[in-house]
Amino acid sequence: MSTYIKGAACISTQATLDESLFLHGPASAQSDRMRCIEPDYSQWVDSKQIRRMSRVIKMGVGASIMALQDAGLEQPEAIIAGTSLGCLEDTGSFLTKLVANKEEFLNPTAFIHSTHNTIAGQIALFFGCRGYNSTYAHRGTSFEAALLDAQLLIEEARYNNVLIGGIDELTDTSFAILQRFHAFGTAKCSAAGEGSGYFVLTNEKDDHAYAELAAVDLFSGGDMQRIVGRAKSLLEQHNCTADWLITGASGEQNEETEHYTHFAEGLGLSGKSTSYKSICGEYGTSAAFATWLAANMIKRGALPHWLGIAADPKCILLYHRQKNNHHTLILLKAC
Amino acid sequence: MQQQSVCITGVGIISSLGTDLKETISSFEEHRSGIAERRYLQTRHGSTFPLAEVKYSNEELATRSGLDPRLSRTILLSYIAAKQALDTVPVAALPQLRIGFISGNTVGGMDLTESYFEDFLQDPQSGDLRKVMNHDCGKPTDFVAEKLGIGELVTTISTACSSSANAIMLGSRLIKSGRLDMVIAGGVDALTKFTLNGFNSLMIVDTEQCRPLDSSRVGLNLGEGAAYVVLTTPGIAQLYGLTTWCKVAGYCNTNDSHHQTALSDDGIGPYLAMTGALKDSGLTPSDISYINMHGTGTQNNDSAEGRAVERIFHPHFPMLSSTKSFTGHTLGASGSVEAVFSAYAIKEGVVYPNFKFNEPVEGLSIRPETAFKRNLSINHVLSNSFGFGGNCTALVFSKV
Repeated sequence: MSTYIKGAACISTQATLDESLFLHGPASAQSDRMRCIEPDYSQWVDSKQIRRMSRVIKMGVGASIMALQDAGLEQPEAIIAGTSLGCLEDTGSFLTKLVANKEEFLNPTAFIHSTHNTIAGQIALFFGCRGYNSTYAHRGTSFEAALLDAQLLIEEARYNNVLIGGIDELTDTSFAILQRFHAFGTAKCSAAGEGSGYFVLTNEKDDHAYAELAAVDLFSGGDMQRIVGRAKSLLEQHNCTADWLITGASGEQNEETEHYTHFAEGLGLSGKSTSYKSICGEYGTSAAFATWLAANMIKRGALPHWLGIAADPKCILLYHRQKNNHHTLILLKAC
Repeated sequence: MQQQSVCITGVGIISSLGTDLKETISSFEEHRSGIAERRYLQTRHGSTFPLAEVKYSNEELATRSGLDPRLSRTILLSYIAAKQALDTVPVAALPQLRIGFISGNTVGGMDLTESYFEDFLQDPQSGDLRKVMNHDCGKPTDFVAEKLGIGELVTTISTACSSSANAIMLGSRLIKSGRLDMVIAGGVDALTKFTLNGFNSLMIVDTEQCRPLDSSRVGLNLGEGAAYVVLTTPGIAQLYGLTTWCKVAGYCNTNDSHHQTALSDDGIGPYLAMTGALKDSGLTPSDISYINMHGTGTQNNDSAEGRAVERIFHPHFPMLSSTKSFTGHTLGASGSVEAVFSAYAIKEGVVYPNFKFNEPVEGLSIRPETAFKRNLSINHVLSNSFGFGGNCTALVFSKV
C-alpha cells in the first residue's frame, strides 16, 4: 500500500505560512538565532485554551490544524510527533523552581507539561482523537523516526490518515546552553532555529496529494560506500532516479561539508542539491522543514526560482547525517 | 500480505529487584520487594518516600559495566540491560542480521542535568557541559547503540510510562514489515529529583510501600531500571539456535484523550487498548492466563484500569497482579520490565503476586494474586502500560 502526503503545513523561521517563501525567497539569518514567524492561534483556539498552552504546544496544534485543513480533513485518526528536546519552556521552568525552592512548594503544571509526549498528547486532546499516538525524541532523527512510524501505520491499513509532525522550540535557556556547543551563525554551523512541520499521510492518491512518500530509511554507521549504496538501493527499489537532493548540511564549511559533497557526487547529483538548515536554521527536527520544502517543490512541479536552477523535480531524495554517524534518507516521488 | 510473526528470544533486565533476571526472579520467589528507604538519590525527600532504587551506586554500576562513572545513571542502567539482551545472540549471527535498537525513556539524562542546573542558574556560562550533554532522551539510546554496534535503526520513544511498551510494539511492526531482522527493544529510566518532585507535586506518591489495586492505595512508589527484549522472527531463531520464549501475539496503542495526567473515570483509553490488543492477537478475554496490570497504586490509574478490566473480563477474571508493588514504577522502563516478566511467565509457567493486598478497589471485584506460583500453564499474557498524555498501550504475549 502506497503512502501519500495529502496535507502539509510549516511554522518556521521563514515565511512559510503562505506562498511567500516560494515567491520571495528566504530571509538570511540576521544573527546566530532565528525565531519562528507564528500564525495567530486565536483563529482556531479559544482564549481559555490558548492561555493554558505553552508556545511549543501552540506551534504543534497550529501546524496540525493547518495541515488537516490543507488535507480537507476535520479530524486526525492517529497522531505521531518527533521532537528532539520536547517541551523545553516547561522543563526549564520546573527545573528552575526545583533548584530555587530546594524541592519545596512546587506547582505541578510545569511538570505535567514537560514530558516529551505532551505535544502529541495535547493535539489528541484538542481533537478528541483516541487513535494511535506516539512521540519520538531522538536528537536529529526524531522527525524521520516519526515519519517511518506513520508510513508503517498506513501500510498496515490500521488508519486511513495519520497526522505526523516534527517540532522543536528554541528558548532563551536552551539557546544559552546550546551556544556553548555550537558555533551558531558561523561558517561552521547554521543559525539556531526552531519550527513545527506537520503532514497528513493517507493511503489515497488524489489530485490534492503533494507527493508519494516512497521511503523513509534510518541506519547507523558505515562509510561513504555503504551510505551511497543504501541510497542507490532505495532508488532502485522504488523505480526512480533522483533529480534533486536536499541535505542537512549545516553551515558552509565544516567537517561535514565534504561528506555531503561526496554523497551528492556518488549519486550524480553534484550541483543539484540544496541544504535546508541554511534556510530554516539548525535544530533537531529541521528535517520536517526539509520535507515540507521537498513536498511543495514536487507539487508545484518546479524548484523555487531563488535556487537559480530551472527543473521539474519528480523524485527528491533527502539525506541527513546526524552526528554519531546516524543517517536518514527520505524519498519523495511525484504522483 | 502474509505477516511474519515475531518472537522474543532473549531478555536483559536490571531493577531494584536485582542486576539480572535470575536475581529478579529470586526476589519474587522470596517475596522481597525492591521498595526501600532511600540510599542513593540526593533529595530533600529522602526520608519521606520509599524508593525502588537499583541497589548500586553509579561507581559500582560503572565498574560492573566497564563504563565511565561520570556518565548519566540512565546510560549505565540501559547499557547493562541491553548488553545482557544482545549477549543472548551468538556473535557469528550479528553481521548477518539487520538489527535495530529502540529504547524508551521519559527524562533521559536528567539526573545530571538537574545538578548542572544548579550551577547554570547562578551563572549561565558555568556548569560542567559534560553533564548537560547527556540531557536529551536520545543520548542514552545513542550511547548504548554505538557500544552494541547497531547498524540499523536507532531511535527513542518518549511516551511517558508507556515508552518501552511502545518500543516493543514498534520493533515488532518493523520486523513484520520486513525492514529489520531483529530489534533490541525496551527502555530505561533512572530516579531523579525532577520526577520525584514532579510526581509529589501531583500528590500521588505514597510515603509507605504502595498498594496497587487495593482500596487503601494512596499513590505510587518511584523506581528505576532498564529492560530489553530481543525480538526476531521464528525463522531466524531457528537458524541461529535461539530459544523462543514466546510470541508477540498482538498489540494496540490508543489515546485516552481525557486529561494530561489523569485517565478517564471509565478508563476508555485502557479499555480500547486492551480490546484492541486482544483483537490484534485473535484472542478472546477467556484466552488470557495472566494480566500484568499497569497498577501504579494511584487512585486514578487503578480505578480506571480496574474498571476497564472489569468491563472486559468480568466475571471470568484471569490471574492478575501489579508487579509495581515489587519494582516500584520505573516510568519509561516499566513497559519492557513487565514484558520481560510476561515472557518469563510464559516460558517458565509462573505468575507474579502483588506484594500486599487486602481489599479490592471500591466498586470492583478484582483480586490480584498474592503469592508467586510456579508450574502453571501460562499460554497468553496481557501487559498494560498507561502514561501521561493519555498514552495507552497493551501488549499480548503467547506461548509458541
